[in-house]
Amino acid sequence: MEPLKLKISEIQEKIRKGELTYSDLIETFLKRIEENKDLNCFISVFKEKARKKASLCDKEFKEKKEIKSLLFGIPIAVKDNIAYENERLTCASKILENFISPYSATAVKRLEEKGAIIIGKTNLDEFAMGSSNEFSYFGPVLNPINKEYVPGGSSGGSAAAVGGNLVPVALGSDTGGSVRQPAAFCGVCGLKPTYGRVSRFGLVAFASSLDVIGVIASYVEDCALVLQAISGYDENDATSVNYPVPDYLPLKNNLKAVRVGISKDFFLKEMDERLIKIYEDFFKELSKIGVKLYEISLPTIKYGIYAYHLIATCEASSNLARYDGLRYGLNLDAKDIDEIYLKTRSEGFGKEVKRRIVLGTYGLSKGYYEEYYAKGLEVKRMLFEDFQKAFEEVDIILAPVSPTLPFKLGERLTDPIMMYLSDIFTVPASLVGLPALTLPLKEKIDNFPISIQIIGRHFCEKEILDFAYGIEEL
Amino acid sequence: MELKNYKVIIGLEIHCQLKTETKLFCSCANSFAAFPNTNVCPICLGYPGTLPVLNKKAVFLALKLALALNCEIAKESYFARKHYFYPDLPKGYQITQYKNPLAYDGYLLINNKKIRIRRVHLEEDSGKLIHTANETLIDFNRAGIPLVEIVTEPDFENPLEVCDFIEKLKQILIYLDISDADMEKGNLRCEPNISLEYNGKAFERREIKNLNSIKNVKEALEYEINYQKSLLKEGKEIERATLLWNEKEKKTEVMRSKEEEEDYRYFLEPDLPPLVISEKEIEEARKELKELPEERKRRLLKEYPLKEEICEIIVSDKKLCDYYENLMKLVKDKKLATNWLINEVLRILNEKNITIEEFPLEIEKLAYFLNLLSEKRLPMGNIKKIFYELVEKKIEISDLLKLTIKEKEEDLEKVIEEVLIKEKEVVEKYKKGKKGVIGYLIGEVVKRYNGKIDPREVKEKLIEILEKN
Amino acid sequence: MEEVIKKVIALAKLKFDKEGLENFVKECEKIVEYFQKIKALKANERKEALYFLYQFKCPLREDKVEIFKNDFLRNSPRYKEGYFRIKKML
Repeated sequence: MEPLKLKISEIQEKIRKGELTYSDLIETFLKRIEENKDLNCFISVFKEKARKKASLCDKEFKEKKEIKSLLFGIPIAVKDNIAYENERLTCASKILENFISPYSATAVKRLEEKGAIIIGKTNLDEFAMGSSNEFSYFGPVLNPINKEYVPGGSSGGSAAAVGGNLVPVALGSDTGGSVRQPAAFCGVCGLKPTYGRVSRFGLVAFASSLDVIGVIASYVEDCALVLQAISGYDENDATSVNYPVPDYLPLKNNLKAVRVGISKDFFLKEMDERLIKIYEDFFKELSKIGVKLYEISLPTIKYGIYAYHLIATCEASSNLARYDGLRYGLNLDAKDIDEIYLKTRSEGFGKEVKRRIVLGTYGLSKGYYEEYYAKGLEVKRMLFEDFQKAFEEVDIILAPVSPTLPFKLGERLTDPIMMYLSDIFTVPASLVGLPALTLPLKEKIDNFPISIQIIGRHFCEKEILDFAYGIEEL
Repeated sequence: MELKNYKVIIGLEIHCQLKTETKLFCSCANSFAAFPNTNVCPICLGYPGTLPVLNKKAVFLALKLALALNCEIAKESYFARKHYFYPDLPKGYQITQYKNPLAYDGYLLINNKKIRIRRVHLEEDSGKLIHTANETLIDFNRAGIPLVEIVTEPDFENPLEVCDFIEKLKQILIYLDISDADMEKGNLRCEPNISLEYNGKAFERREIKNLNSIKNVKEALEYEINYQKSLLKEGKEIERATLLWNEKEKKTEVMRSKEEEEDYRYFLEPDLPPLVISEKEIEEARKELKELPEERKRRLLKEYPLKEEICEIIVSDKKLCDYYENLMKLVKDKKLATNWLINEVLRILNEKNITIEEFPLEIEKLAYFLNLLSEKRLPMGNIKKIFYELVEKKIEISDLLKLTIKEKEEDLEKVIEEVLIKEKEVVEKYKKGKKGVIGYLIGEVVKRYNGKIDPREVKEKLIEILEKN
Repeated sequence: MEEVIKKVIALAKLKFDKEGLENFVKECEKIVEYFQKIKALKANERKEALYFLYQFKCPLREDKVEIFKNDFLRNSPRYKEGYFRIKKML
């Protein structure tokens, strides 16, 4: 099988056997990236750097005859809102178009320590704000399954790159579904870890209390592999949690060992009927093979999307206050300092980002704070308690990923409300900090695989990875 | 017509830079930097993707201060973001504490009057702007330096109380090694707010910024009181305002009026979990509250021969006070040493415009000198000259020894003469050839010195004198 | 509403042209009403705001100097000869 479709462990097998070199591997993927430029997945590609590193990997393997880590020599794409030292960090925004980051994110450093090769930075919705990757200063990303459709967002570039086999794995970021939804739209695995499991240091902040770095891969095992490398306490991130990281590998099918919860609250009447049918069939299949299914109640789910937007826009407006062009970024001339602020921010930010900044500023202002931000946090607590109660009865919760199928480019642009609603099933796990993985099922509609969302308890990534692995094997 | 029935109400807001090695949220140096923008990193410059991490020492120092100010300590306090756009504020917000400060409800006694402290909290400092002819330059070395903010209740009734408070606070800050508390250097910033109450009606308060000395604080407050009084006399309204003190023209000027009040959009800092202070940490901080100036003064008055005014002088300068106590351990006549320190040493410090740390004569040598002096073993007529020469390093301690040796010689001769006269019979025996008795004579001389003399010296001199006669 | 939005836009240091402002106000009105749906929550169901999920204690950093070694200021457009420079402020 050509290296483009192999699991990482299979790639390393070929290397060990001498059937493949790391330089071959990099060339294969670089060629694939070049041939699929029209997908617009990448903002930066590090051709020379990657080639040099690959040849060093080959040299080391020749000398030492052993592969120090499964990630050694493996190309990884990183979403362009995650810092990589001395390379551009654009966040798909004009305001950071030529900004070069002076340091690397902790997650990226940890991958490099394992020998992984950062092959490029992927396209995204500007500052991770969006669900379709149509809000990028560098143009939209196309869905590799059907180029007239969106790949989802905001990690559209990373998801399309993995979906189109331009890279085996990619890092994304998930604030309200930005790893899970595009992974689903592109037919690949998307993992959002527990909040605090992976360091946020080097992830450009959107909503600080919700942001996490996530993993997108073609195989569950590869997701687990990358998660293992990047997880763990980081003293540079005061919100990263000092719990020990378990061994995520080897994966073990736990379908029959766990109690699975399904909630009616996760299914809206507005959903595409075909989707509902596919999920119902899937649950029947699980039941048939002996998986224990229970019905649970999560009454606050329907308020989740409102709470999410209240919280996220307020925190975003604050996190984006630092972009003024004075210390770095877009440099515009104006008659006085006030004009510099206005001009830089008005010209540097796209429409969607500006909309959210204004809503967030409104939400935090005097007189509105209690109604807006604080209220969002009350719903967060209610949702937290809902899930706590549910997890007393079950170990895993299954849910859909998106209420609709992937939509065509330009279809949702004129209706921001519809765009917001597309996150309705992914935001609950974000608000409560739970780990969640989306996995494509065998069923397809219009060629798009339909994905299931697997939600677990805090810091129980192993459980959901094992469960996903079980489904993958079906 | 003089304004009667009016009351002056003053409150104080103080910002004080903490003496830590690093900034509040990153590991950049908190020290004087020769060049601008050298104590900086992506975190304190607000680069994309960076996060704050809280400095342990800053918390400890703030805790010490809060305890010294008799405050309640919040077991859990939170950080908040305060938003505004200004070129010296890298993130577009300042990380501070808002609704849940580290400490609250404290007090400080000024001449037996209690000034209540509303709150004490931690926050980060901003960068510095320098205005040249055509440009404004920004230096971020100061951005992120730890500050502690102290807010008092409006308990002051006149400018003198405010000045006394600042003096006392300075002493505490320096004594406890919390801050250098130098107003001129900008590591202690005081912003008083003042309003009048007239015929029972309270009027708007105005606050004054950029006061860089206690003298300025006093003058600015006195000016503002008179200004507000004159407005009231004319029946005019007093508008809320933020003022700057114009030192040249000795008057306050409006910087910001009420309408332009900012909306800071405070909300809880999501990047920093709650600051938890344990009982253990409070105890450890309390242990370091070694004597504050008040207590030290009381103890010194008890232990040493000091008059109250002299004691004040000594206590007000911590380094001098430490020096004084160390000196007292080394000298025999404490009263003499005290007077000498106050009269001669301090005079030299003033003349040369140096601090006690820069005083050229080492403390051990000073003690030795004072001991010789107390034993009257120095020529009294010349004593000040000898001291100055000692300080100027024109003579050395060994030279003093030579002086005293000379004296000692003459002194020894006298004592020997006295012994010889007393022990006539023993001397006779010696002269008749019984040289052995010299031991007895040496013993008698040594006895006169309470053993504090070298017997070989005595023997030498004895023999010299005996042979002479 | 328009007045409030105008003030908020200024607070956020953004500017819009007239048409942009009108469109924006319309969208904001829709979205703000939409978010008001949260008011539908019954009063006795309201709980205390949840800030931190399980990060209960702020970790503290040792007070030790670490010099950031990357000469990164040379990439800053407004940095020249030691200072960040902007037009003279009044």
